[in-house]
Amino acid sequence: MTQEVNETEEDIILAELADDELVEQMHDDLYDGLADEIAEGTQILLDRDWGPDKVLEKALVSGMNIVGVDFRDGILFIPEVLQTANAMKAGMAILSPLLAEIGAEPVGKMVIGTVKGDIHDIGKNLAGMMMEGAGFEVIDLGVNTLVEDYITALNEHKPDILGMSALLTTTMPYMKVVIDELKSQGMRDDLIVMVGGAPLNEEFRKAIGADTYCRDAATAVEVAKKMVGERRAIAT
Amino acid sequence: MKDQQDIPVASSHRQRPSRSGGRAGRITARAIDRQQKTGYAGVTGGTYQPLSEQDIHRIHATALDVLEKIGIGDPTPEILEYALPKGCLLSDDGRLRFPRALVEDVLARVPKKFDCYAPDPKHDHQLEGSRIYTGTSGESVSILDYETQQYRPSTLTDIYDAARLTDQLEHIHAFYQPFIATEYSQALYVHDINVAYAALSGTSKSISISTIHAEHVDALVGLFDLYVGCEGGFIKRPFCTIGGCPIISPLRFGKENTEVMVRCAELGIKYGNACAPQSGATSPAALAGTLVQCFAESLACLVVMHLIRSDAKLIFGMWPFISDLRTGGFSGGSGEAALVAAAAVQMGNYYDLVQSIPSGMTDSKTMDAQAGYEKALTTTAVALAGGNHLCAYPGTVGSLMGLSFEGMLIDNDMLGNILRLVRGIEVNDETLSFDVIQDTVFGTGHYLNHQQTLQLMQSEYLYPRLADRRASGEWEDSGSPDIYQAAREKVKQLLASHYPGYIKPDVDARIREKFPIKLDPLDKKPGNGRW
Repeated sequence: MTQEVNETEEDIILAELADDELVEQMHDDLYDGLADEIAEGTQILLDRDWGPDKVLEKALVSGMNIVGVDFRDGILFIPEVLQTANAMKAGMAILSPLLAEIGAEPVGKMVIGTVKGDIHDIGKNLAGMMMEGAGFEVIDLGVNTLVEDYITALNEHKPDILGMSALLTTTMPYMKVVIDELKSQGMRDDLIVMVGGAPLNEEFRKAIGADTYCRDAATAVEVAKKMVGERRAIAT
Repeated sequence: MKDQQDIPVASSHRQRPSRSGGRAGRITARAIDRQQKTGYAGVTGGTYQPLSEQDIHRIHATALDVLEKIGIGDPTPEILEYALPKGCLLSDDGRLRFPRALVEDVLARVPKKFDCYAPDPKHDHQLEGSRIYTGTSGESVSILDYETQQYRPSTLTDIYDAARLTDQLEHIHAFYQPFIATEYSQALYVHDINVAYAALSGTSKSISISTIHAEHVDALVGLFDLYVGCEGGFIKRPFCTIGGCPIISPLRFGKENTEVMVRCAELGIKYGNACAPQSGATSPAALAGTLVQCFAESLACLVVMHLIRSDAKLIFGMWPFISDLRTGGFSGGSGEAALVAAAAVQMGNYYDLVQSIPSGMTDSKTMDAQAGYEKALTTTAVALAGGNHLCAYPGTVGSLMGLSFEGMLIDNDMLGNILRLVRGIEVNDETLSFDVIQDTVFGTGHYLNHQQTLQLMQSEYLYPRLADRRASGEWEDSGSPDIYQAAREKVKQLLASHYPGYIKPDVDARIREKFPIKLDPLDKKPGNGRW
């Protein structure tokens, strides 16, 4: 990318663009990971009487879909995707309260944490950031999470998804402890339980009774969107 | 290939990201990234030095003894014509003796750097010091056929296809004739002209051709002049090196190749000698003795070329090979081969000579694990030693007898990684990253979205095209392919799509009018049924 391109593009004044041009520019700005520009563009569309659900869908989610495709194809790298997620988050910060006001269904909510005994959290962080990039609200419980902490957070936030991660073969069985507790408290069926971490696999997922095992953060986003959609379809 | 000047360095400053053209801008940037900021042409080697300085002096002194007291047999009349008036001596046994003062004098005077031109100037590079460039090489007589996976005689279209692949492989910087067009092996004029034509049709990188007929050098110059569009145009930017083996080990001139070398010196064309004695068979079993003989043989070429023309450009080619003494056969890939080749590079570097060195040879018949370790071992050694032109035999298998297109792609990845290794670690205030560490520890707790990571992800790290870094589950889900299968898919994709048209139609017509061009125009277009 040349300096010339940068200078030309820095001259763009978002407020002067027609709606379709603005949306297209926001897709580019999301792609370039520009949080301030996304916040500005989001506000401009709202000021032009776009509903928050329309802004979310047309400007942000469809822009992030492009990001997802290019990440899958190896054009975008993880550090860049995290920049786009950060930009998305800036837009969501404006939209989320407005979406709640009009009673629009949010993309989804997730409580996530690395299980007790494990402090390896880069995979969990990555998944959390990517989920935020897809428009999910993410409540991150951090590392070394006890079953009680999971239960408290689930009761407080009422998420669609519980995500648990572990890197150690010695800590991954704790996921079953959490799931068993969910069952005993009658909460299990209200949640999609998603697990991840390097030593996990599909067999382990079945053995502990989780709903899905995702081998990487990008897969987690795709699976989360699909499963939340399916649950809502059944609910209606 | 331009030398890399603009490697980003780490910055501790948190910069606000700016617009970079969104998706279209990024796709363009990635294509440029593919030209490699990570493992790049012209990286400087020279850190691996298997010989001590005393070793070098002793090898040097003994090689000069060899040239002075044993000399080189079978000198051609042309060599005698040039060499005797300048101080060489023809002894009663018919061997040409080289006084040590003369050799020392030549070593001091020969050009220590020169340009290696390419048909497209963007691929020009300068050969000097211990800067590294890679190329194909080999003149194999067979190809491991893409469709049948059986060896078959190589053909002219194989040369054209190899050139097209080289054109697209970022870590192969020059195209040195990888095959013989066996269907024309009885018609060498047709052969040599067509090899050059096929090379120029398929790549705009620097090329090298071998011939054993001096008059073909003049014909090739005529072909190249037509290509550049004016008489004398080629000599101004000679983008083709002529290569060959003017010495038959031990210590004899080979008539035809020597005549070619002399003609190149006369015309001012870069010549690459490959003095390739085989230890234990055509040079001493002692590796030091092989180095002595190989150095002496290459020095003889250097002196002859310099006596013909003081600015003659020789790519000094000590190519010490190894014998497997169980059978007497050639062996390309071994610790000894890596060691003695690296030592040869060290000799050349000590005298600041522009040099070529073979590597990446394997005795395996396929691109298997044996090929992988043999190729990586020898190429890493000579690259770290700092050989200028690494004749890295990408894709070559079967002790130089065959070539695999799949292997060229796999070796492209290997070469990129080796160039990265040679480049080393930049240590400075920025890269030591104190501020970045501080930022992160008191901030997000990870580096994945730090500006430094974004800034360096394309220059600090190399992303191989084929190496599989996925999780085992994902790999299983995709059918558990190995690297060879991945290479097969990519070969087809690259060769089915890249028909570059470097020879313009009017130029092509003029060339075909004057020369017996055999490459079918239909083979130079998509839909030819080959890919």
